[in-house]
Amino acid sequence: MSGAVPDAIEADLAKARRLAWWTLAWMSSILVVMWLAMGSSQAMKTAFVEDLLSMVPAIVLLIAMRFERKSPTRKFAFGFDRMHSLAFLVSAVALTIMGATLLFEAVHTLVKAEHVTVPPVAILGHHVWLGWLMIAALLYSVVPPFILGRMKLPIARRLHDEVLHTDALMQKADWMTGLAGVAGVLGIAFGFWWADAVAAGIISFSILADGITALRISAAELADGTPRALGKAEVAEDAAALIAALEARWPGAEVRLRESGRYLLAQVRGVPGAESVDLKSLWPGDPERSWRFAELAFVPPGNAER
Amino acid sequence: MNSKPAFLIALAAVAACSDLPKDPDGTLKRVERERQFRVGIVESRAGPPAPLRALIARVAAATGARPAIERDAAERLLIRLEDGTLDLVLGEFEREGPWTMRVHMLPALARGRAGSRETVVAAAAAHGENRWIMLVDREARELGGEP
Repeated sequence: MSGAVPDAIEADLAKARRLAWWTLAWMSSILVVMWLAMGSSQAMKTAFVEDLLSMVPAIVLLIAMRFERKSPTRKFAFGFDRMHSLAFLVSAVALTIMGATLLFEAVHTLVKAEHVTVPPVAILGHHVWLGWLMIAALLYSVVPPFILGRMKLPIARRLHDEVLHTDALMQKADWMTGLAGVAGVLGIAFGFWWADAVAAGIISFSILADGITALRISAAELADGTPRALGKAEVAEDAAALIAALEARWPGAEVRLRESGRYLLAQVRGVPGAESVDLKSLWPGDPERSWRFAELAFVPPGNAER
Repeated sequence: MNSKPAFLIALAAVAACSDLPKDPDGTLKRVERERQFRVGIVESRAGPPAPLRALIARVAAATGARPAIERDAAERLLIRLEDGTLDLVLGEFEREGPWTMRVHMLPALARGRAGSRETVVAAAAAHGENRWIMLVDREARELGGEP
């Protein structure tokens, strides 16, 4: 399956592309606001870098979707579906780095008992504590990711798109970080120097766990592991059902299934190849998702030892 | 809809916020309670520059406290500032020196050069004492200080 996109998912792909562009636009506006409000605060600088990092999944998703439509070439005879798997790995790494950075910063601040200075700034002749501006900027940074993340999840499920799913997780990490930041700045306002670090430390565990799970799934995908469920390290239900269906159709054969991007590729080993097979008729699950099953290959007896 | 309760809540919130931020180590409250703030002035042949003396006078007027001044080398004073046994250290510091990360530098009252290095005449406060920093920052800006 390469070069052409199934009609069944065209509309969702268009929506995913639009959401990725909206994400880049909104996150850019958040970066500008955060940059204006960050002053010399290290915590806000970290939040700024995290917001920058959170654009990575949307960027790699757009690149992968562009490649997905390209036809195979002599140098890339199997097409470019796997660009999606590569994009997934990049997104998973970005999410993991975000969680790890947040945890490191939090532990570092707590261990060194660093008292955070949030200085005042002069705005139009008024002497204003920067913390209030930071809270306003952080509250603004919470709204777009909260909405966009929720819009992305159902589309990611329908498309079985791990990059879009990781992008949605990244947006969740974004709004959680923003709220933790608000709690932290409020804590500093009340004289609790440790509040910022404790709030960031608590949410960093959830972000890091999501990142590590995404890394495990993407590693499994790139190592031709049996396809995993969206956002989980367990084998996908539709993949397990397809393996069972193929084993029933070719008794005694060994069935191997792997994932290339959003598509499932099957290999039936130890039996002579069938002359003509309708892949849709073999799909055991929801017919609307039969586009997932994109390729069936046979390895004849005597060549199936490995 | 009766807007009176909402107005009162908003007023209470604004009043509460005007008391924020607070100092984790309570520097400003202590200064106001004891009517004294502890100042370290970096020793120099020429004595403290005029803007620094003006800043001390302004902080004293704003807090109703008198300064307890001592003079010593910059390094020793800044260590004491970190330890919390001084409230302010004033003098001429390197603009990009190692101490600019360890303490909070308030708006510079004058700028100069020491060889190839840029220097600032400024006050330094311990990190995190945000209420105290706000007060001294405001007084430094009133004297024409720039961040």
